[in-house]
Amino acid sequence: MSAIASAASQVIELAAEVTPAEAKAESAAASAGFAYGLAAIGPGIGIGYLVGQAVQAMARQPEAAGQVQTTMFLGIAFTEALALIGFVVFILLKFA
Amino acid sequence: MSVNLFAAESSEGGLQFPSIENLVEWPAYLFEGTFAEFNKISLIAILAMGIPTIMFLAAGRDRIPSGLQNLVEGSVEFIDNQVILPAIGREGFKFRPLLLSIFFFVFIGNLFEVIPTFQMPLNARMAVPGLLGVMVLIIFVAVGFKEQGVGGYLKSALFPPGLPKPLYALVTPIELLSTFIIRPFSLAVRLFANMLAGHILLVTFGVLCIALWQLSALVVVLPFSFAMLVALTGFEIMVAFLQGFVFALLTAVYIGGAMHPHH
Amino acid sequence: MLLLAAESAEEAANPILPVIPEMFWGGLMFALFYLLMRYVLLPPVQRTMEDRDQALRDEWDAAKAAEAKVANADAVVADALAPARAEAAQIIEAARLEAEAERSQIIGGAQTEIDAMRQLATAEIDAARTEAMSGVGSHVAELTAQATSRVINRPVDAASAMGVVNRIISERG
Repeated sequence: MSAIASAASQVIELAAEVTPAEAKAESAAASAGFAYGLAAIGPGIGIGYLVGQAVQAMARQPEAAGQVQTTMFLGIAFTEALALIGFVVFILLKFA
Repeated sequence: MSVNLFAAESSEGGLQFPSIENLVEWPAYLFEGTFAEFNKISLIAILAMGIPTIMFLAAGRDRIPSGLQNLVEGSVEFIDNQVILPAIGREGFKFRPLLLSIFFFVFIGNLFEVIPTFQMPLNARMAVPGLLGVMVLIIFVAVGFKEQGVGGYLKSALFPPGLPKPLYALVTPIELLSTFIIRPFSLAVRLFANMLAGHILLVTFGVLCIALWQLSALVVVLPFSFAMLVALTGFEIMVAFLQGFVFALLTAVYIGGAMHPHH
Repeated sequence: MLLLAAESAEEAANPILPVIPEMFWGGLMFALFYLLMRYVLLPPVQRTMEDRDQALRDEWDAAKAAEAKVANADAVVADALAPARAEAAQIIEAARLEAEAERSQIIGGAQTEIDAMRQLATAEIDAARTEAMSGVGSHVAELTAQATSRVINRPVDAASAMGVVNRIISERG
């Protein structure tokens, strides 16, 4: 696997000669992953719970399914926004 | 139109993932350097306006609908039943043109994410979502002013009734921030980030497929990567629709909140 | 296996910020689309849908009216039939009563006939028995008188013996 070797050598080269700007970019890139990962935890749990409850509501009252569905999408949209802001922070850290 | 998305392989044999500028920024076709620089995004914006326009014009006017007319009338009824009635109520039917055009513009713009030769969602650039978010802010504030008066709307928006007096010191700034800043911001960012994330996801798997095709030793993994690409394309079509729906629904919810304060 | 390319040092604008040309075109197109939707595209579609709704409602109303008419006609027919029904019921009742009377009459006639016959038969039987009894009584009285005269060696009057026998027979049955 020459690809792994070349990747490793590239990392080593990067580590060997770092300017302050490069060091900053590197730490930003490293924290970008954490930013998105952490931002995804809460909304992940939230959306799972939300959809689970919505399915339960629809199973109990199938005649109200349409209304429950609309409300569910609204709730997902609000909850999801947090994860998406995390994603934007990731892009900002990584590419800004 | 063949912008090199993908700097295939570097001399060391490692895969160079294209940088984000290559994924979302497009060279100008016309008027380069002016305020009306015409590039792929502008073309998609024109198509996102033109395709639904043609659809509506070409739809029949028959007593018994068929084909395109079904689609058009179905979408009007969808906006009526799924967006306006639950979020605003019967008095919200006057916003039907606004919500329909938001839905179609966002949805068709998103759909270009999976249309070959375009492969770029209109809303993966901040321009259109940002403008729409600001526009929604202006509209729901204007509706609030018109329905409840300037003072009445600000009072109901900033001072929710039924709280002890000292709590307003805490609640009012939060409401100010959440209603007038976070609402349009989250509306724009939700659409933008969803589409950008989907676009990057599709590009990632597309690049992976090409890279696996070229690296002969790893070609056995290619079917899985390709299956994932196909599945994600289907998923992104659903996301494109859902984002159009959610954008229209949230617009309607905000307008409804401005129309009747204790909703 | 993917190695993300290190960011090049070129000073480009942030890729996620909106740029003026795209905002110009996007905004222009959305404004155009909204105006078209408001004044050109939506009204005919809506008119078609409303016409259809109206037509459906009209047809529905017509169907409702026809249904009401049918119900009305049903009521008229029922009204017309009511006297005839009552008459029929009356006739049936009268016939039933008549038949009942006839039946009881026939049964009564048969009963009296049977009673008369039975009475006749009973009288006959009684007569026969009385006759037989009286025959038996005189015979027994004669025998008794003879036997008694032999025993007491004196002639016994058959008539007095007859009276005793008759008393005993009537006592013993």
